[in-house]
Amino acid sequence: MSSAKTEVPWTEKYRPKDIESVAHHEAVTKMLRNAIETGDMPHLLFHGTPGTGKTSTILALCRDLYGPKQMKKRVLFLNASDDRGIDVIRTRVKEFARIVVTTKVEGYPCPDYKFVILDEADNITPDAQSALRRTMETCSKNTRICLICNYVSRIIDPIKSRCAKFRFQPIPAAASLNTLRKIARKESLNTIDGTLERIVSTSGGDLRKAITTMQTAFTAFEMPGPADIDTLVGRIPDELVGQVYRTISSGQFDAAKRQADELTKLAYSVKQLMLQMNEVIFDDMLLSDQAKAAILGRMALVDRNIQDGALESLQLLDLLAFIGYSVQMDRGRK
Amino acid sequence: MATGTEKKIQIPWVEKYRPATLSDVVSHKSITSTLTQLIANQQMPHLMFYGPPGTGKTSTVVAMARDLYGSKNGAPSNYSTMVLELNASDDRGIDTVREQIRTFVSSRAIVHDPPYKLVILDEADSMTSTAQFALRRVMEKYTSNARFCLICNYAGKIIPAIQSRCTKFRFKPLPSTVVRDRTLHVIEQENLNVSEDAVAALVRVAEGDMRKSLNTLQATAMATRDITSTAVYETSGLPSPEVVAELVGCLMTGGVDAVQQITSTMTMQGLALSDVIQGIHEVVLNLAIDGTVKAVLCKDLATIEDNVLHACDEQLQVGGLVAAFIQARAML
Repeated sequence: MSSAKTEVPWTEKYRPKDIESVAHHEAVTKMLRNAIETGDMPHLLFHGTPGTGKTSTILALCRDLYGPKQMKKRVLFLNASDDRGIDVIRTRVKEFARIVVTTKVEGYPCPDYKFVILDEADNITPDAQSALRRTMETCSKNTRICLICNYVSRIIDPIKSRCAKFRFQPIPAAASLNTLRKIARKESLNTIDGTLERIVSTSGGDLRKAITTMQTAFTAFEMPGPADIDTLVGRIPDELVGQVYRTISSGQFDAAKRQADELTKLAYSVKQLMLQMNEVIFDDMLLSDQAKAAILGRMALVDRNIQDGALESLQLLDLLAFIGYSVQMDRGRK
Repeated sequence: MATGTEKKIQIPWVEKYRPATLSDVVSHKSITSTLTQLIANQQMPHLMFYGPPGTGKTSTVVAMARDLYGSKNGAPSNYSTMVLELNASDDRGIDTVREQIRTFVSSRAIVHDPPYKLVILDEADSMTSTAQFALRRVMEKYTSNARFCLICNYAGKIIPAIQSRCTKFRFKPLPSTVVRDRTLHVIEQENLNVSEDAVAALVRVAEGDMRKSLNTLQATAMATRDITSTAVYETSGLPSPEVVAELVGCLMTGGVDAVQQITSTMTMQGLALSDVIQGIHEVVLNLAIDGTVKAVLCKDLATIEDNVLHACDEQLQVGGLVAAFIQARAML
């Protein structure tokens, strides 16, 4: 049992199999069901934050339309890891769209059109997008295109105007919790109070993240508790962050440096530290808004530097020194 | 069956309402009258149209081509034999220039008025420079047979050798009154239910780009029957002025806890930080505060926008945004 359950990622195993079981997006599912019945399917554009069911919905739709066996022939799925420059749009998508498939499968509607799914479409260059524009028109007889993206503003307008758009909102905590409980029951897991809740709260409305965390947690620990979840998602223990903040603001730079080294050794990312340090700083009632602002500004800068490839350890030292300096100047002023 | 599904895919309104003749082109009167003159005097040069998207470059040249080759006095239209249109979705490497374009221009039209063919190269700035070099010679050699019209957004991307062979026309962004009138015309023709502030929103989103206005209108009409300004902003994925005003209000009065508020508004509405910053930037420019402070704020906004483009963490950058405002407020 324990060896079998780790084989397939649960995100795949519990991906909704048909439109009916897609969670929490009534408006979308209603429209799509309608479209299946009438055979009147527009091009689709799904957008919203990660892990809200965009890919699940379109895959479920395709399965409802063609059945599992025909999926390969009828659906072309391209995501950001495939090359999707202007040439791919010109050749692969066009070629796929050109082939007419008429094989019917008993029990599925199998309409005449095929589906091209472009996942993570906000990464397609505007040039390639404008090439796609023509393709969408010329191929509309036997192909529907479904674009999936996080930010709809990254999709050029001519494409938006050719698609029916659907926004997927972050999945509410209660609904995520429900799904996790369902999985827990099916996998017959022993959960203790607060674990699933903690998983949901760290996932920020991203159901995929929640399920992945859950699977990892129950594979790694016998009976994971909230603290184990923190470890898994790379959250630094709150006491540790608080301790670093206290040491640094009392002016003991050397001590702070030692703690910084400790953090680096534990392989916590500076980004995570900054996000959690944010909370600690927000909660420090003694600190003036000015000082808080200065620190936030510095964090934005450090974030950028790290993104540009700066050494994390140096950036961390700089940040800690700056925080210590700001806090002490602020207290001195009072 | 096929026709049943095909019918539902509407023609894009930008195509449907493309001006049919030169006199229908709503803006750029000086350009259209110059073109009419050139046609009348039989002095058509090679043309190059450049300017931002949606300002009528393609519409003008297509309308001109229709005027030139369309059915006149009952004679059938010669449009398809006399005009070659190539855009970015067609392959336009050096081979195309050598084969397709050369074949088209080297065969001479027998009796026609006007006696030249027209090659329209849309989105010419995406042509490779080798293809452009090859084009240079073709343009000269076949001048007696054909005229070229290159259309591009950035004149700088066309090699000087081609530029010097063309008469250049610059297309400015359309004035908002023109965008408004034309949008209203389409709304009337399509029998849409559009509120007054939604029209204003369309014009605002378009920023002088006629195509953007119509595309947004069509996309919104696809999603909902009653078109309101909220629906328009939702379709475009841009923050509405109300949301931006709310965010700026929050930034101008709140403390660091504004971070939470802004992040949650952004997730709930599905907004990208860079769009939010752009909106805020506009509002900041109109704030009644000291110019120096404004300058500092704009500089900070620019930095944060750059950070966002370098894939930085959104929440930390929102922190930076809040910090910039708190510090600016202290300078007041």
